[in-house]
Amino acid sequence: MPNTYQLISSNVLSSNVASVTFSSIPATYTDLVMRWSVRDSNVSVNANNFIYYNGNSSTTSYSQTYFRGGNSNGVSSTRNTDDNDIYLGYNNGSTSTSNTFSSGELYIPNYASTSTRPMSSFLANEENSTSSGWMHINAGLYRGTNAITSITLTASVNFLANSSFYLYGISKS
Amino acid sequence: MAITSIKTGSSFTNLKKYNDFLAGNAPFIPTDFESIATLTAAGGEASLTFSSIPGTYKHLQIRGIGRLNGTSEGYGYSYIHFNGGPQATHGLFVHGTTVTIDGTTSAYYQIPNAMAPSNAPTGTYGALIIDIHDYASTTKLKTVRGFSGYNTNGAAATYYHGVGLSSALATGLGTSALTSVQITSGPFGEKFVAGSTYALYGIKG
Repeated sequence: MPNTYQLISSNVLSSNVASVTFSSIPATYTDLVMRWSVRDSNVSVNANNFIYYNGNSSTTSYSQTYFRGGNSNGVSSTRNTDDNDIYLGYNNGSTSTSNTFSSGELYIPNYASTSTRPMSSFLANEENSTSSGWMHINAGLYRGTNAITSITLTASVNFLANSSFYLYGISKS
Repeated sequence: MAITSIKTGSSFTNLKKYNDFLAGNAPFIPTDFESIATLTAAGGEASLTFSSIPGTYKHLQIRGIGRLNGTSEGYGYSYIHFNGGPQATHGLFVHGTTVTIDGTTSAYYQIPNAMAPSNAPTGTYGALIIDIHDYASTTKLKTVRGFSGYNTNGAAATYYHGVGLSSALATGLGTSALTSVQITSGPFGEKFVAGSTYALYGIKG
């Protein structure tokens, strides 16, 4: 267990927003962890959720492999070599069970390096249903040449109020 | 004991002067990831319970290992109650080489591949990590994520070894704060073996 696990910043939404950005991330930690709990205004049960770093959404900056499953939707995997962001999976949309929010975690080791940086994420959304609910894991790579100093999450439409986002820094002993 | 005065003397020569009370020491910054409690089975328990969980953190994480002593294999699941209520639960997992996805509304949150059954190789345990975001919220239903697995060191057949993702919606809890987590040995009558251990952590926000 890391002996230092520090909150860097948090954002609990009081109104709907299309994206959330953690900026000016200090380079003083070894790894980053982001945790979020999100509901989207998209009129759907499921709503896509993406991230990009440093304002960089050029089409060759990211590659990723993800694996996901939903009970009535089977299991699938995807590999993309040139993407403009990282796909985190489905959040709860506005027609999902009331008061449900997806739960996600993103881990970025070595984020302050100026060479390539990997990431992993695990996102789950749930319904009060036996036939709906998704689990999504992703292994991604940021191929930009600068250290990660900002992280932006983008909603399918808008993140709804009470969605919450927390960014932590982990230091080696 | 209070220090009321220090006078110049032979014991106080060549002292280094500091401009702050750290006196050259690194500042102590408390971690935002804290241990709340740890439960270890003595052997024979049907359940282990974290109760009176304080609402002072933002998130909870449980890490644990488990093994059952009964004759049923229990399908390798851990079974968990949040405040005693039912939940919708989904699993995406591999048993051996077979990929399965399932979903049900159950009395339990079912975590695949998280318990070694009694016929598993000696000394093997299943492992799990589960996360509960905004567990003390009174406006959200609690969505729980789990990651679990156990390996038989090459033994095959019906040990329900593999790796799994899981999730649950704590429907029975409603929008109340989560204050207890009960990890049970499941509906097949098994008990925990000694050494099964679960640790509860609180994460500040």
